[in-house]
Parts: sequence; C-alpha cells; structure tokens
Amino acid sequence: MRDVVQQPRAEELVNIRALNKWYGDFHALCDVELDVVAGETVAICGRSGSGKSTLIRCIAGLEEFQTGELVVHGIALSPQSSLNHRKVSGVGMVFQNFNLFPHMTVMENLTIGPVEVARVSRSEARARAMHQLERLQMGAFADRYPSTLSGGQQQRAAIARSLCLNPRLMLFDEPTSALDPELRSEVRTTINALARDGMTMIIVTHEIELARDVSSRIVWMDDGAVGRTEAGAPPTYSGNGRGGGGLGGA
Amino acid sequence: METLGKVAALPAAVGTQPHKRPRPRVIRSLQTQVRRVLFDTPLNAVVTVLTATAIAIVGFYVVRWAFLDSAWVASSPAGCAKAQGACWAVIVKNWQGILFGNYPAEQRWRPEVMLGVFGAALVFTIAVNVRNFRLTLGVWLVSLVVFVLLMRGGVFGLQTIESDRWGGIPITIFVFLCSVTLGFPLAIVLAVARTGRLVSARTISVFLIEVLRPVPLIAVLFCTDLLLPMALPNALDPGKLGRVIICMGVFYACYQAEVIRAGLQAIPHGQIEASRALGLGPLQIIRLVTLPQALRLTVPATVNLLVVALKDTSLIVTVGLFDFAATATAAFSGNEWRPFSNEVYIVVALVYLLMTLTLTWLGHSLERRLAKNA
Amino acid sequence: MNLGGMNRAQTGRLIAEAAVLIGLACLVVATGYSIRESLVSRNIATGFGFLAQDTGWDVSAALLAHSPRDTYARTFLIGLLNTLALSLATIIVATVLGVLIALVRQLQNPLLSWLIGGYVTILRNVPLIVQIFFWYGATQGLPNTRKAFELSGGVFLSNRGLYLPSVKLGWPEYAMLAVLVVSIVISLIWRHRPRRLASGLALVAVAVWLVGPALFDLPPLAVDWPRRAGLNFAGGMSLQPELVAVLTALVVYNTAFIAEIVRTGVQSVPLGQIQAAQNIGLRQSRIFYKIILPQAVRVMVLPLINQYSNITKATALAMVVGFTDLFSVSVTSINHTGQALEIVLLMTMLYFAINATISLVGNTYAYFDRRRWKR
Ligand SMILES: Nc1ncnc2c1ncn2[C@@H]1O[C@H](COP(=O)(O)OP(=O)(O)OP(=O)(O)O)[C@@H](O)[C@H]1O
Ligand SMILES: [Mg+2]
Repeated sequence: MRDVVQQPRAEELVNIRALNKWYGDFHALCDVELDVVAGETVAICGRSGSGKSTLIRCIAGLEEFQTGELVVHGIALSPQSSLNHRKVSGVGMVFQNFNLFPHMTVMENLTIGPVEVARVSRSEARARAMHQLERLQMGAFADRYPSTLSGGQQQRAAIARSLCLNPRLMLFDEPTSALDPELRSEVRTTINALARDGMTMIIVTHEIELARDVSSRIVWMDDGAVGRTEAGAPPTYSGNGRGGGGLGGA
Repeated sequence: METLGKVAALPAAVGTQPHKRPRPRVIRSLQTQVRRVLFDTPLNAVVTVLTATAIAIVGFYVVRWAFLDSAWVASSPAGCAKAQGACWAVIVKNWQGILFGNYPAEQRWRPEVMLGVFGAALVFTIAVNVRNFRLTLGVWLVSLVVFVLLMRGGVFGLQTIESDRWGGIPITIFVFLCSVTLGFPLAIVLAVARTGRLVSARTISVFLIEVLRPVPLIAVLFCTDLLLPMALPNALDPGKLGRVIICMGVFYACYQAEVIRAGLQAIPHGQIEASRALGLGPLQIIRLVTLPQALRLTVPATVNLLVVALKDTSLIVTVGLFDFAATATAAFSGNEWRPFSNEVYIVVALVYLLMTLTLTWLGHSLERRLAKNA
Repeated sequence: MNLGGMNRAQTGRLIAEAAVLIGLACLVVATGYSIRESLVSRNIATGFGFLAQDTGWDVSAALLAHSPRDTYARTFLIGLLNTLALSLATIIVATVLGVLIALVRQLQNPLLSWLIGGYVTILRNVPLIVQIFFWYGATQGLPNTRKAFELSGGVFLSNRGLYLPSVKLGWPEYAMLAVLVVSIVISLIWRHRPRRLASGLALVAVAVWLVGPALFDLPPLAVDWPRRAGLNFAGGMSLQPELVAVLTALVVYNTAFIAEIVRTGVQSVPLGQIQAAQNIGLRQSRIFYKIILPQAVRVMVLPLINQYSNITKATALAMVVGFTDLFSVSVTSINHTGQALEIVLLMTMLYFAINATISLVGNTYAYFDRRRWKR
C-alpha cells in the first residue's frame, strides 16, 4: 500500500469491469469489479462455491466469460476471443492441485518454459531453475519426479515453475488447501518473501488467517459477486517477526 | 459488442439473490457463429479453407462420377463403357444375385421373406428399446429357427434346398447371429472358468483362449473346415455351414471371454465378501452378483466385438461359403462386368456400414438406458 | 459326506475337477482315435520330415530368393518373413498417420474434425476384405505401363504395380541401421543423458554414412532407378499390384483404428495439464508433443499392442489377392503334402511367436515407462 501511495500513478496489472460469467444457466460471476496495481498482494476470500476459482481462472485466461472487460498485464481479453488462441503472458498460475507434469523431473518441469518459450539456452535455464529451487529450499529435489514429492514440496515446485518465467503477476488458487498445518506456515513464508521482493499476487484462499497475514487487501466474494473489501497487513510492515526466517533473497 | 449481435433484454432479478441474472440470450447471426468457430485465428482460417477446398474437390469428382456421369441402365457392359462415370447398371442388372447368391431363382421369395423377418425382428428390438431383454432374445431365436425351416425347406411342402446353395445377405446375418448366440454363453463359461478356482477348468480355458487369439480367424476357419471332419465321425459332421458357425462362435467366445473377464475383475472384492456373508454359494454369487455387474460394465467393449464379429462374417468366403461380399464378387467375376467391380464393392461397403452402424446405435441406446437405471 | 477331514465345498470342488478332467480325457481320446482312423484310411504320412523335402512349387513374391527347389522349411521362412514385413510396414505407416491425425485434431477445427470423424467411422465399419478387394479393383483400373503415372521423379504407378527406386544395401548401410535401432531402443528405455547420447550417436552415424563415401574408401550407396524400357520398366524394384492393394487397404483401415486409440489416449490427459502448459506459454504443437503425447502413450500402450497384434493377423487376408504370406504358404503346403495336423501346428506356433514378441516388446516398454514416473 505504501508503494501505491508513493507512486501516484502506479502501473495497473489487472482491470476488471462488470465481468459476468455463466456456466450454462448458472450465473457464476456477477458484475465483478477489481483492480490490482503492481506490488499489491490481494487476497480473495469467500465461501465455497462463491466463484473465487472461477474469477482467478478468468484472469489467467483459462475461462471464457460472457460480458464485461478484463485487462491483464496490458492484454485485453474479450468475451469473443476463443479460449484456444489466447496468449496471456507474464502471469504465473499456481493451481489448486499444482498440475506438475508427472512425466518430467522437477528440473524439466522448471526448464521447459524458459527453453521452449523464452528461448533461453538449456544451461542458462537450468541455472535459473536451480536458483529458484534454492530460493524455495528445494535444491535437493531437482531430479525427482513429482509423484515422489510431498504435497508441500510439489507446491513449491509449482511456484518455482511459474517464477522461472519471471512473471509480473502471480495467481494462487488455494495454496494451502492441500497442505497440513505445518506446511501452511511454510507457504506463508514463501508468499511473504515473494511480496517483499515486490511480486504482485492474487491469492484465493479459505484461510482468513493467511489472507490477513500476507495480503495488502482482502476482497470478499459472495455468491459470485464482490462484497466488501478490507485492508490487510502489507508485508512491508513485517517488522514484528511475521513472515520471518526469510528466504535467500533474489 | 456489435459482433455479438443483439443481446436480449435482461429480465429483472430472479429469486432471492438480487444480483443473479439469467444468462443473456445472445442471438448470433450465422455469419458470426461461422466466423467464431472457423475463422477466429489466421491458422484456423487457413485450415478451414484448405479442408473446404479438399472436400469440395473430392466431393465434385465423387458427385460427377457417382451421379452426373453415371449409367444406371445398360444391358451390357459396353453400354456402360460410354459413360465416363460409375456404372450402376452392374448393380441394377445383378442385384438379385448380389443379395441372394445362387438360391434357385423361382424360390427367391424365401430369402426375401427371410430378410423381412430379420427386419421385423430389428424393428421389434428398436421398438422395445431392448427393454424386455428376454423377449428380444426370444424373437431373434425364433427368427433363426424360421430361417432354417424356410431356407432349407423340406417341410410344409417346401422344396428342399441344401445349404450350399444359400448365399448373400441372409447368410451373413444368419452366420453372425448364430455365432454370437453360440459364442456368448460359451464366453461366459470361459470367463468364469478362467477367473474361478477349478484348476482343470481354468487351464482348459486359458489354453483355448491363448491358443486361438494369436491366430488369424481366416486360418482358424480354414483349419476347422479341414480338421473337424477328420476329428468327428461322419455322422456327427455338422456340414460346412455348421462347421463355420461353430468355428466363428468359438473364436468370438475367446475374445468375448477376455472382455467379460476384465469386467469380472473390475468388481470390488467387497461385493463377493458381502454375498458370502449373505450365505450365497459360489455359483449363486456369479449368477446373481458378479456376472450381471460385469456384463453391464462391458457393454461398450461387447458392442465393439459384435461389430468385429459382423465384419468377420465376410471371411467365410475363404472356405467356400457365399456370404454377401462373396455373392457380390460373383456378380462380376468371370464375366464382362469385371471392370466395374468397385461400383459393386462401394454398394457392399454401404450395406455393411448400415448394418454395423445400426448395431453400434443399438449398443449405445442400451448403454444409455443402463446408465439411467444405474 | 466327509472324506478325510475335507469339508463339503472342498469335496464338491474335487468331484468337479475330476468330472472336467474325465470329460476332457474322453474328448481327447475320441478325437485322437477318429483322426488316426482318417489318417490311416487316407494313407497320409505323419511327422515333420516333409520340412526337409523340396516343395516343387514356387511362391509369387518374397524378400528372399526363392525357387521351386526350396525346401518346405525355407518356404515357411519366406512366408514368415513376408508376413513380418507386411505387418511391420503397416504398423509403422499406420502409427505415424494415426498420430498425425491426432495432432491435426488438436487444431479443433470443426470442419476438419468432422472430416476425420467421417473417415474413421466409415473405414472402421467396412470389413477389411471388402476394402482389399476395392483397392485391388482400383489397381486393375490403373493405366497400363506405357501410360503409367509418374508420381515423383522415378516412382511409377501402373496396373502392373508400383515401381520404386531400389537401394543395394552394403555393410555401411547395415552398420548405420544397426546403430539407429540401438539408439531408438536406448531412448525408448532411458531418458536424460542416455537418450541425448543415443540421439547424438544416431546423428553421427547418419552423418558418417552420408559423408563417408566422400572421405573414406567406403562403397557408395547404389541407387537403382526404374526406367522405361520398351513396354515395361527396368531397374529399381516393383511392388506387385496385389501387394500395393493389400498394403493400402491395411494402412488405411488400421490408421482409422490407431487414430481412435490415440484420441482416447489424448483425451485421458487431465485438462489441468494442458492449462498448466498454456499458462507457461507453450505453443499448441509443443503442448501436444511435450505434455499430451508422453502421458497419452501410457494409456495407449495396451490398446496399441492389441491393434498391432490384429495387424499381424490381418495380413493373412493378403492371401485372397494372391500374396504369399505365412498362411498362404501353409495352405499350399497342406494341399501338396496332406499333412494338415503338422502344418496347422507349425503355423499356429509361428503366429503365437509373433504375437508373443509384440506383447513382450510392448509390455517391456510399459514396464520401464511405469517405473519411470507415476501420476
Ligand atoms: N465447469 C463448471 N461447470 C458448471 N458449474 C461450475 C463449473 N465450475 C464451477 N462451477 C460452479 O461455479 C460456482 C463457483 O465455482 P468456483 O470453483 O469458482 O468456487 P470456489 O469459490 O472456488 O469454491 P471452493 O472454495 O470450493 O474452491 C460453483 O457453484 C460451481 O458449482
Ligand atoms: Mg476453488
């Protein structure tokens, strides 16, 4: 928040205006409005079935919608553009069930993006991947297959996979739901560290604790509509030990 | 929004949730819809244009060959030779031979009636939507009995016509129905034996299945036709048609048994334990609990096998029986219609397509009905 | 009833076993007796001695040199090799085409999908034998050799068959092919460094083979192009119209089945995998090769083994247009020697061996694949 105040015309990464989405005849998103500026960490909370995942998947360009405007990282997605041909770049998504590629090692999962998309040399991509893995304390697992990792390790691998492409915006769908309580604090640490490094993030979560802890703003969703918005604690204030430990900075 | 067309007026709020609205009915013009699915990206547009061009070119030649330039009536092949396109006259001229083979001309009404009987059985099956399974089965079994009585004759004052003169579509349907009627119960026995605890029965079942499955059906047919008369005393020899039906039935059973076995193995062991707890004996468990579930599970695979069995009836020509494909071949082979063989085979293919698609469609409707009941 | 401490169920099972065995024994004895009778009455020799005798008849086309003075054993080998060659050619071409069709389907163009769907439905539902007859009829309708189609430089198609350039394989070719096969096997079993090493090795082998004749004293590749000579063609190699028809029918028919198998495999890959790949920014074609296909293969292996086995069996139909394969050699041999039992046994065992090999290779691949990664 302080960053926003200091920079009066901060870069806006997400603009959503009157977004409406129907699954068949079910109105899943109703006139959703949301803006996210660079450096913010926004949490989206709400009851199960309130449309949080649907919204974040729309932002990632993975869902069609029927009316409204959606601009992500400078790219306007329209209701007409068909799903197959969308190119949303600079947005990393960490899925609820991670969706790591099971037939590739962690290292291959991390390097396939840079090598195939960013056309980075293989050795450069490996170095970058190793850096992200070390940062998330996953260095020892680079040559393991995803099925041999624990839930928390898989999640960190998934986060690292997104980070390898240097995204401007990170989307998290329920980053803690698959984890047991100890691992949840690990995730919190990870997200806090990312926030300190200036990453813009949107985090969908059930856990109000996590939301309050890591986000600068909490958006409540109810039955497909955005309800009230509540200020969270921006991690830049974390002088009181929250999010401590810290990860080897980038 | 213009390209989206008109958006119908939105009705007021629905129910208790004020912000929920029904989905706007977007009325897209045909043009917009086509553009959206066929021309939304340059690549897709290129693909559409290429595909459409290919369809148009091939379609043009096919239509010109099959309809515009074709000859439908010609007393001799010479008449056809003048036409640039297809010579359907070969069908028009020989259709009775193609459909019924060598059956004596003055008795042709018998296979014709028979086709009607099979058609009626099919209509009945569709009408009851396989709902009453036993009745449907009964109707088909009766049609088989009628087939033998009518085609063979010798009763009710009908002239006797031996099976070596039968041919064409009736034979194809008859062999298919008989081999499946024979094969399916055998498949159940083989599958149960293979999953059961009787060592001797299991060994026999495994042996039969594993020996027959790697061998081509055409080879099995040939060998049965050759060896069965040697192995059986003359009195027991079922004749060529009988040998073929036995062979096709057993061969079909080996494949069907593996399908049923997969179904049996997919049933959770808890079901068997629960039945045991109810005091059911091993055969009762199979008959009442596991087998019905396994058969339901395997409907799609079974339909695939039935289609294979139907197509495989075309192989009986290799032992000298005249199925549909063979009588069709006979219509032009050895005479001057020879250059127009492909017209005949196209018609044969269409007839097979009709039969197999009907079978698949029946299977799908059975599947849907079972899914609804489940 | 209680026999020596057995309960009722055990006794029942024992009786059932005995009944089955006695029934089987009766059947075997009766059949054996009947067969012996008919063999004796027809005065037919027994045993496999005939394998060493000359056949006295010739086969129509084969990979190996053949003549009527070959022994039955060699003739069976010729038939077996023809069956294997036809199966292998069909398997390779149909698999490549089936995967290509699946790739094209990824474009999700409704018109194209509809076209492919029509192709698959029609070809799967018409008996193979009818399709073979159709293509055979089509080859008969081709122009004669004087007006033969020239498909592309040096490849001719006429009603006498397909004329292709032939190559004379010397030891450099065999060496290169051996290296290629080894590296394919290595890259199917291992990944990472071994796979990269293997593909490097293959590239080096091809490169050495290409530039070898220029640099070292290696025999160059002898290509023999077919040329028009009088009313016919000279040089190159020719495929008889029968073989062209059978190969076309087998490929076209089985491509439809394999396309369907690949489609099922592709559909089994969870949508989340594709979305994750899209999120990373991979292009459609890279998603197909890198993400979908490797995972789909796991689901495809068993149905593919099955289909490959069906292909080897289907080649027996080549006999109906006069191609010499294992089955047709068996039939002719039975007609000439009368030793049906022995020949049927031999033929069955050879088909059994072919199918066992296919399923062994497939299951070995599936084993290594499953050991490598789990879902
Ligand atoms: N593919 C779909 N088809 C039809 N309805 C869907 C589909 N996906 C989601 N929905 C419906 O849309 C609503 C919102 O779903 P969504 O997954 O966004 O909820 P959520 O807020 O993420 O819930 P949770 O906290 O349980 O993950 C739900 O009522 C759900 O039933
Ligand atoms: Mg959700």
